[in-house]
Formats: sequence, C-alpha cells, structure tokens
Amino acid sequence: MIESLVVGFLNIWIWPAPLYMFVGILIGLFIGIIPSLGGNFCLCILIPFIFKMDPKIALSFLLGAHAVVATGGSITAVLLNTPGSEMNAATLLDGFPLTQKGQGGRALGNALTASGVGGVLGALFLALSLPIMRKIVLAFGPPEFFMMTVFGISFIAVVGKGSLFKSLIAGLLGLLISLIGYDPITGVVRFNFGTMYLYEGVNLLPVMMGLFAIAEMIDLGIKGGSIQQETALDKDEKVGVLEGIKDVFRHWWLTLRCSFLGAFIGMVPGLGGTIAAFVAYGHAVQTSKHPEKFGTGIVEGVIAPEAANNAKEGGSLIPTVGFGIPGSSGMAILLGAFMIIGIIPGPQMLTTKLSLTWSMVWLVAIANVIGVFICLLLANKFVKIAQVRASLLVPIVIVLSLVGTYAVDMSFYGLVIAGIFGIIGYQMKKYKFSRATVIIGLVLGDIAERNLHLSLMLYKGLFIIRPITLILLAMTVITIMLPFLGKNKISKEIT
Amino acid sequence: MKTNKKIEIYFVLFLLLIFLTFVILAIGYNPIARVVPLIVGIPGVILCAILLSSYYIPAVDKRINTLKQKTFFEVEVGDEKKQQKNFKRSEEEFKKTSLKELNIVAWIIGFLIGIYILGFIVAIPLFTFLFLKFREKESLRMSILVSAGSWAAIYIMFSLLLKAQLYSGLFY
Repeated sequence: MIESLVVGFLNIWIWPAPLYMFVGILIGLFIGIIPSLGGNFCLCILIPFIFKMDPKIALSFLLGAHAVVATGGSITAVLLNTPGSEMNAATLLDGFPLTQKGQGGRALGNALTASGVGGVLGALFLALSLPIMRKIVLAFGPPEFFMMTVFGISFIAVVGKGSLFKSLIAGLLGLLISLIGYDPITGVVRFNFGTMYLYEGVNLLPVMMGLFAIAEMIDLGIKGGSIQQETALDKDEKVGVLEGIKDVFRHWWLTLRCSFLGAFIGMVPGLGGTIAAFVAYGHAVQTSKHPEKFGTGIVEGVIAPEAANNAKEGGSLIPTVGFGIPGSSGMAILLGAFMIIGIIPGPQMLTTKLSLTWSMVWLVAIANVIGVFICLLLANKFVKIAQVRASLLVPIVIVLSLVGTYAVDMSFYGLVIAGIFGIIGYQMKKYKFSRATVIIGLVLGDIAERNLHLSLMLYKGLFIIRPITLILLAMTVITIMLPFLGKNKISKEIT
Repeated sequence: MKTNKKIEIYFVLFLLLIFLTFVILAIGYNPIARVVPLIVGIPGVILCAILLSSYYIPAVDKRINTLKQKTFFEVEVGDEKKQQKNFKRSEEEFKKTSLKELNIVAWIIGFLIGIYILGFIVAIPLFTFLFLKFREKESLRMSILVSAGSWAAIYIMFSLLLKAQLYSGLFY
C-alpha cells in the first residue's frame, strides 16, 4: 500500500507529465471561467488530444484540467453573478452579494481557497476509502455489477431536477443507443441501419460533443450578444483576497464538513457537483447561528458550496475507478477517456494497478493546489477572458468540436452523429430533458447488458437473491420511490 | 395550444418514433440478442406515450406533474429564468427564435457539407469567415483574423503536433 502510494506520487512527476498537468490546469481554468462551458465540455475538448498519449501523461492532462474547472467557474460566479458551470450556481447566492457590498476580493479569496482545500480533502477521502473499497470491489461479481449499474441509472433519474418522466426517457434513450452494434453474447449486429460504421456501436465522443458542446453553441448562437454582460468591477478586489483566504481557515470545521459531504455525494453514482454544492449550502444554513443572513452576502455561503463541489471530484473517482461506474456525467466522460487510453476501471485498479489509482489521488490534490494558486494570481485576467463575445466563440468551438470528433473517430459518420446529437441536445436543453442521463445510460448500457447475460448464465434467475444484489435492488427501489414519498410528505404537511 | 408546446410535442413524438423503431427491429433478432433492447425500448415507448398524452389530457398532465423530482432547493439560475421567460414570450418572438434556431442549424449543416466536399483545411477558414462576416456581422478585419487564427491553431495542433490525418474532402 505505502509502496503504491509513493510510486503513484513519483509517477506524476515523470517528465513530461508535470508539463501536461500544468497545461491541463490552465485549460481547465480557462474553460471553467467561460460561462456554460463546464467540466463535461472541458473533457470533450481535451479527449481528442489524448488518443496518442502515454496513459500516465494523458491522465495528468485530463485530471489536471477536470479537477480545476469548478475553481475557474467560481470566479465569474462571485464577481459577475454568472456561474462558470452548473456546479457554481450555489456560489453566486452569497458570492455576488458580497461583491455588491464591495467585498468581491474577499469572496474570491473564500471561493478559491475553499475550492483548493475542498479538492485536497476530496482526494484524501478517496485515499482513505481505497482500502475499504478494495474489499467491496472484490466481493462484486456480474450480478452485483449489473444491479449497481441499474442503481446508478435510477439515481440520476430521480435526484436530478425537473420531470421524472423526461429524465427516465433520456436515460432509456442513452441505454438504447448503447445497444447499437454487436451483441456481447451472440455477436448479432443490432440496429446498424445498414451501415458498417455502426457495427462497433456508437462512439461515445460524437454523442458527447453533440449533446454538450454543439448544443451549447447553438443555444449561445441563438441568444447572441456577448456571453455575459459587462459589470463594473470593484477597484479594490485584491484588498480582501487575503482576508478571504483567512476566512476559510477561520471556518475550518464548516470547510471540513462540507468537503467530506461533497466527496460522499460525489461517490454515489449519478449525483454530481451541483447537488453537492446545494446540499453543502443547505447544510451551512441549517448549522449556522445566523441563517437569516444567508443570501445577503455571507462568507459561509461561499465557502460551503465551493468546498463541496471541488471535493466531489475525489469522491466521484471512487465508483469510476473501482466499479467502472461514473459518479457523475463528467466522470462518465472521463470513463470513456480512460477506455480510450487503455485504462480499464475495475478491481485490477485496486490490486495490480493500485499505483495508477494513487497517481489519480495525487493528481486531483496537486492540481487543486496549483489551480487555486494560479487563480489567486491571475483572477482579474481570467475575468477578461470570460467577456469573449459569443459571436467569436460559437464558430471556434463548433470547429474545434468537429475536428476533435474526427481526430478520434476518423469517420465522417462521426461528424454527422455529432451534428444530429447537437440538434437533439439543444432540444433536450430547451425542453428540460436531462442530457447527462443520456451519457450515463450510454456508458452504463453496455456494462449492464454484459453483466446481465453473465449473471443469467452463471446463476439463472437466482442472481437476484444474492445478498449484495438484494441490497442494491432495495436501494434502487427506495431511490425510485423517493419522489412519491417526498410528495406524500409535502401533501401531509399542506393538509 | 402554444406553438412552443407544439414543438415540444413534435420532439417527444420524435423520441417515441426512435423507441418504436428500436422495439420493432429488436423483435426480429434472436431471443438472447433482443432481451435487453426490449427491456429498454418498451418502457421508453410507454413513457413517451404517457408524456405525449399529458399534453392533451389534463388529468394525465396533473398526475405527471405530481412526479416532479425532488430538488434540494428551488433556486433558479439565470439560464432557467431566461427559459421561463421564453415560455411567456409572444408568438412573434417565438417565430424570431425559431428562425434563429433554423439559421444556426443550417450553418452547422452547411459546415458539415463543406467538410465533406472541401475537407477540413479549406472548410474551417471558409466557415469561420462566412459565419463571422455574414451571420454575426463582424468587421472584415476581425473575420479574417479569427478565421486565419482558428485555421492556424487547428493545423498546428492536429496536423503538426498530433499528426492526425484530417479529412481532405472529395477532391484531394
């Protein structure tokens, strides 16, 4: 264990991995700071670059970028009331009022430092849970993996916001797309519509590019104007930054609690940084001595969500690495990236490839520290980048997305798929269908089908009564029933 | 019924059609290969049909609305506020937005056709320049600058650094 920990640490410093990590951090911060382009987009843009890289270098590049996207997003949330990504939505509740009160620098110090500390604590959570996770993962067979995938799908369909029907439909659509191509047991080619391209199934990347990058650009192109409105910035932003850094350590207990809360939520498949941030914010309100001040500009209201949304990265790596089940939509994309560079998540990541898993832990922690340091130095410059006009951004991002798709897929059909899913993704966004659920379904579908068939072959229908499978089944049922239970509770309260 | 709602109905109909196509095709496969597609496809058809009926039958709509997912906070971020406003917009505004939607989709399709015929190296600067100059009404200087810059960045990143062979079109 100790040896793997040290080897994992040393591996990330093998040249040129640190250089790629640094470049990844800069890209992650840049994308994080541009409103609406979150972690998923960041990964989509970077994936085309990794397909010829050494796995360790690619890992430094991707994790370096992904770990700091939420950090970059907090800058515009605090100073301009515009969250860089959905994860930063909770930050603006108190961050922007602080800026309005002339304490923007302090709020920025709060957000950035809490992000850094949260990121490191999230990695620590991942590190501490590895020994336990090893035993859990080894107890998992095909029936448990199958039920775990079902649990993951049910969780994102229920806990996200909006219509349950729409989320379920989106999830099923993703699952259905994952079934295109060879059947894993019989070898029958399914749903290829007469084209050779679909024999191997639908590549994850064109679908992701379409659903997120292109759909987002269609939306941006329609809205027009600039990506954000010009807001007069306080000239004394830098004055309070140091005070903001100190605040995080003054409220160390809140930072610690929210970081572990974020990491735990990240660990549960299907939940994400947005939920982690709002839960942490709610926790800060509930435990505060002056809850009425929340929303008017209070440092705890910035520290709590920022600590949680960065800590969730460490937590969400747990199911992704150990089970091959993404903890969030970002992790679903990361899972796809792992497969591209030949890293297959599963029990071997906790046995023979443990040092690689430790490298991930170190990367998340170190990237967060470096990211925060850069942000604190260059915060004002990042804000200027966030003011790029939509008219300039739209064609550049569309070009980059399609070139990236082709570079990986090497087929014009991939571009067509990206275009089609761009239009579908835009409609899904417009009519509030969860796009993340499609990705989760697409990633989990193949794993679910393979393990279902294996379970049936090994245990017939009896696989369902295995202890862990039963527990997971019960958890799935409870998760699906939650909206009904919640509704009944609300109805009773009203009556 | 509002035009915006009609478009939503068409979208759900489109999804229903996808699920139906997959289910019908799955029936033709051997028993093992069709199990999972049917397990996924049939609930998809049912859910789409229920969602579709909710637009016409108020009782179903009411029932579906009781199944709103639990949210921890009823906080609306700026984007959603804008979306809510969109529902209240007039028919005229809706038509304007629809035209904008068709316009940008046409630009993307045009770019794809451009790539297919001319290849990436020619289509990228052409698309970027035309998009900036004619759709976004940017200045000639800015349009040339950005299109040349994006072409150079793509060429250096993908062709020179990553040695990726970009599609060269029908004529090369």
